[in-house]
Amino acid sequence: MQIIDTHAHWYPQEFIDLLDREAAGNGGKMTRNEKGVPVFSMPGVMPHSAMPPLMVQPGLVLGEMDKRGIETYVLCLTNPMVYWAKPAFGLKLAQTWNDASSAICQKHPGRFIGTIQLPMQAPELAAQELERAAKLPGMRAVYFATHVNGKNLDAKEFWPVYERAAGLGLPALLHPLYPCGGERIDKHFLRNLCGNPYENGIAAGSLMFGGVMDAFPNLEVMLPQGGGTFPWLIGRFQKGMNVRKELKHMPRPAEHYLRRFHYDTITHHPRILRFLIELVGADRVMLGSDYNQDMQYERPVEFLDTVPGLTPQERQLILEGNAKRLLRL
Amino acid sequence: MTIIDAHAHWFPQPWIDLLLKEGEANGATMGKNEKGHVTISLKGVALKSAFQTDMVDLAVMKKNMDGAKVDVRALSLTNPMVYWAPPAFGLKLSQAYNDACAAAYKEYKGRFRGTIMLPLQAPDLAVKELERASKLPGMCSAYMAMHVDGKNLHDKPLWPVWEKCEELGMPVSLHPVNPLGIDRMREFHMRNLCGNPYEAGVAAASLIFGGVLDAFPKLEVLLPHAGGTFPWLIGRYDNGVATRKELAHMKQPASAYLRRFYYDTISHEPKIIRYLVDLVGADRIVIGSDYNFDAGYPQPVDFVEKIPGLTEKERKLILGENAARFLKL
Repeated sequence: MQIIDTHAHWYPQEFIDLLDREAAGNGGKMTRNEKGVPVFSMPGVMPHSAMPPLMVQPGLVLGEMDKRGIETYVLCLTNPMVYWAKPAFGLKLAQTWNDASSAICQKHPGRFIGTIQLPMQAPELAAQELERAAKLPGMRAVYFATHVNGKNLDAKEFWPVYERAAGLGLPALLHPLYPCGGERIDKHFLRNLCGNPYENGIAAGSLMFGGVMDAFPNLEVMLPQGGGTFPWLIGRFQKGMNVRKELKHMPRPAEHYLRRFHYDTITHHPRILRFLIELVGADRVMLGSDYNQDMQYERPVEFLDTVPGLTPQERQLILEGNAKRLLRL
Repeated sequence: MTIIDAHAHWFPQPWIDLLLKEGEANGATMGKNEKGHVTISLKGVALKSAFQTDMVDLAVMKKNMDGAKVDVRALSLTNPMVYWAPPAFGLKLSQAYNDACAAAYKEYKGRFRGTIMLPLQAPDLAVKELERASKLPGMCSAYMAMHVDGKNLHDKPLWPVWEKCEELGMPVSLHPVNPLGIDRMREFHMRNLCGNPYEAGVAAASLIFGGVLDAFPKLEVLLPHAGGTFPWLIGRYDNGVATRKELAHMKQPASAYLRRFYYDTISHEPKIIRYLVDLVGADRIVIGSDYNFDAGYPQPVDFVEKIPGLTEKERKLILGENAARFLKL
């Protein structure tokens, strides 16, 4: 079985080098922490992005994958991503990530899958880069944050990018970035514990209620962290659709949209993952680990095996089958 | 068995009259909507509240309660509550609400029970009003929002209120007001569909990680909307406790606190309550109606019938026995 981890993070050295050279001219700052690890930050924005060797050096990444029994990582760029920069630099960052991703996929056949980063702060440049990067070997998905500098994902200016991604057969993988909530989530690590899944819920709601999922029925979208809050609030969403004038445009029941999305296994609780599988279907859930972040699974496959009542069929789908289908492998 | 609805709202006429008389001098904008209902708008608050007749007139409310097969309703003051007002007026509004509750309890011979509104913007006044109102006939719970002017519930100035609640054996019922992240939730009713349950997740985290539940071990707290996001993110909270320095002070995992809370049934999806029963126990769940908002249950008892796999014993617990224990009836 080709065990595929659909949620793993990486920072190419070229990306770090580019930030070192030009972040400062774009409102960002690159420093080194006490361990000599590169850290990107912006004034007043949390969290900071640390880029340690385990998330940079291909040899170390491959070593970790082997230790964990994972054959393939879907490589995802996490914070800061690229939307924070001025458009031209955002494009340069995206191109650097996309080129480096394709290169590492080609250098280690079967071990990595690339996801396309786009400068969504300038949708015309994003469309341009999508065309270019889609042709690069190994690129199998497009990667979006859950908002673009505070704009929800249903904003009309993003629709041409979704249309083209769907047309190219590329699924959209989402990831939270700089979560909303301000001071209320400053303490107790709530920015991550709550803020991230809250972002996934807002993103799913925006794509669903904003009409993107219906306008592009061939667009596949994956929600990380077990879908965040989205699956558990589906009843509320349906109730809203029943009674609110701002939702009477919705053509299908909320339940339909549960199965328009895909979800990773990062619930940190075996029974809750079981509930998720029951709610959305085993064919919509894929292995994820959040390598190598604070909330990662160090043993993502072993975690899956603690899910009560997991059948061999479900296991195969979650470890391999669903990802192969979604990423057209 | 007494069927008890723990989540129902009321705007007493004397409270509305007080707002009409003194609200504008205290920063509110009072008005009337096209249906002739009194409205209140507050600066910086997205939701404009209208005091519709069926949430003011107790005779109408009693008729509804009979039709809903509910024996006892605990009446609570929802948006905008009172924290927006200068302290003296906040106290006056609280007293007006609490006195009206006592009158309703007497007039309707116990069919309505009151919950205590407190001016948490001035904790010393709140403690005094809690002392006074706890002696009024029929009061069965303190009622609070999930933040006070942007400060989470574990904020140190509020601790005397928690202490007094525990000392009096007064349970606390929470309700979202003015949810976090509002700028990202202005469309599609997401302020309510997402924002309200998001608040419960932060409130629970605050009480757990902020040490309130440990400092006051006898405190009982009700989370509305089936606990919001809290139960489903418990794995994340546990992971945070296990790995983060911000949570190194915790002596138990977050999931140890699941049974420190009560949860109402307002999930709008029976399967979610089934999962909740599995996660927290049938003895922690109470019925709610959210009377009489459009996102509520006109038939809260009938909803319980739809929950898969409930035993007769569990039904009785959820319909009334748990609430009787929580509210000390």
